[in-house]
Amino acid sequence: MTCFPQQIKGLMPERMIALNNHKMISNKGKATVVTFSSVTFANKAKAALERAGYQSEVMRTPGAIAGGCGYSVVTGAPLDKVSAVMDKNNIHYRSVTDKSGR
Amino acid sequence: MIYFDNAATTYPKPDSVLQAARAAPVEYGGNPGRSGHSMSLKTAEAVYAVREKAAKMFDADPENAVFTLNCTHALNLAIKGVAVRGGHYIISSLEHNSVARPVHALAQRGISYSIARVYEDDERTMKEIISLINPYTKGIICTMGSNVTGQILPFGKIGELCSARGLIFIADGAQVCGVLPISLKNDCINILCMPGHKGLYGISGTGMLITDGKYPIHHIMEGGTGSTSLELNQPDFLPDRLESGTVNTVGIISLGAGMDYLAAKGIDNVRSAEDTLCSRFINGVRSVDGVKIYRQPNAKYLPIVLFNIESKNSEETATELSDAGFALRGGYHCSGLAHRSLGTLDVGGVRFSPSAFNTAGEVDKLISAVKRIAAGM
Repeated sequence: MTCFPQQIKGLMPERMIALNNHKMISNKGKATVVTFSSVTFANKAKAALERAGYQSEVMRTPGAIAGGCGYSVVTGAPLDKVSAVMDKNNIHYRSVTDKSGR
Repeated sequence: MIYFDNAATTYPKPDSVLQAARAAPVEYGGNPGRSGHSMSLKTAEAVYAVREKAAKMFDADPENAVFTLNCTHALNLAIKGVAVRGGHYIISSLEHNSVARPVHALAQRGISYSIARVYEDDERTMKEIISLINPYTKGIICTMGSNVTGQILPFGKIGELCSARGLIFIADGAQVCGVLPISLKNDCINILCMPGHKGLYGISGTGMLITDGKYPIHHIMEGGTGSTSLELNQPDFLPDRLESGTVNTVGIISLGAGMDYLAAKGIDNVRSAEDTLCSRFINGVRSVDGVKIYRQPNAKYLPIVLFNIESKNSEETATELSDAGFALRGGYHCSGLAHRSLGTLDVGGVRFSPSAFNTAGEVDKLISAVKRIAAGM
């Protein structure tokens, strides 16, 4: 099982398995996960990351995060690039975490 | 039937729109923003793509493009969402009931409003509007172009005035979106409301409210948004705050196809063709005895022409034209204010509004029919 550095706030550990099993993490080893309150911002982020040249996918954020329900983007972009793309495009996100797979 | 009632809704729709509407329930049959399975995600992505198209077309951010059922729904969200704490608002003398009625209803609950007469001369209209601003005025809510006469209001100047005076500008774009190039930024519009089924060529059941985000819009409807589900408060971010319940996915995707159609043809090209048809119609009937056209020489117009055959009530004329195979709208066009302003409260008017799909030959046939009816034949 892949170990995650810092758990996404409020996300129960066993629910991280879903992120672990995402092909972008398990196949490529490294991925960054950005969580959002709404699918609109998740898709805005996906579009912005793809324009910046990074493969990205939207997925449901597994488990209960603060407030309940949300979407994540899993991307091959490194964390610093993701933060830069989010800031440049004025995209509001809940958290951005670097995930290392094995 | 030859259809000239496009100010009510455009018909026919482009083939690409019909194809999109037919395919959508099959290809995008999930509920966007509700689940994590591939159908829901695919549908959400398709809906977002339409937000992006709208944002690009009207110079806004995608998340600030809120889908509604129609323009009336968008205007109610905007007007009631903004005028929650009273104040004075200015509307125009050409307003459709989708502006006039919500404003009038709110006047029963604490706001006040004034009606600015629209003149042939834009400068005179602007002076009238400015004269109505008082210390309690919070904004101007008005149409960008009349659905009755087609007269284009000086919305750019109205936007500048609002921006300079710290007033909100809520614009009813029902007849101009998809017809004139509109930019929230350049035209200083804070909230733009539009239907998806008129100039944007989507199917009915669609509309949009697009905001620049400067003024918060209080929600008048609460419910499931697919976000922050554990919280009882409505989300405080757009579009979720104003989009409770499942959106009209089929309509939205068809609207995207309609915007693609317009982008490919060019809005200016479409309008130019429609203006040409209007000129042809006016030239064909202006010298017919008993036909009155409601156009002022120095005003600017959308491709809409209001006329009457003076010996008949407008509904009667519209019925006779319908019997002859022509679809036009007679009556008051949901705008008592406009007809009061025109002096046509007793007869209403017959509205000619062509689309990109009408031809010169069809206009010529209509001209012949108008001549026959006017001659009592």
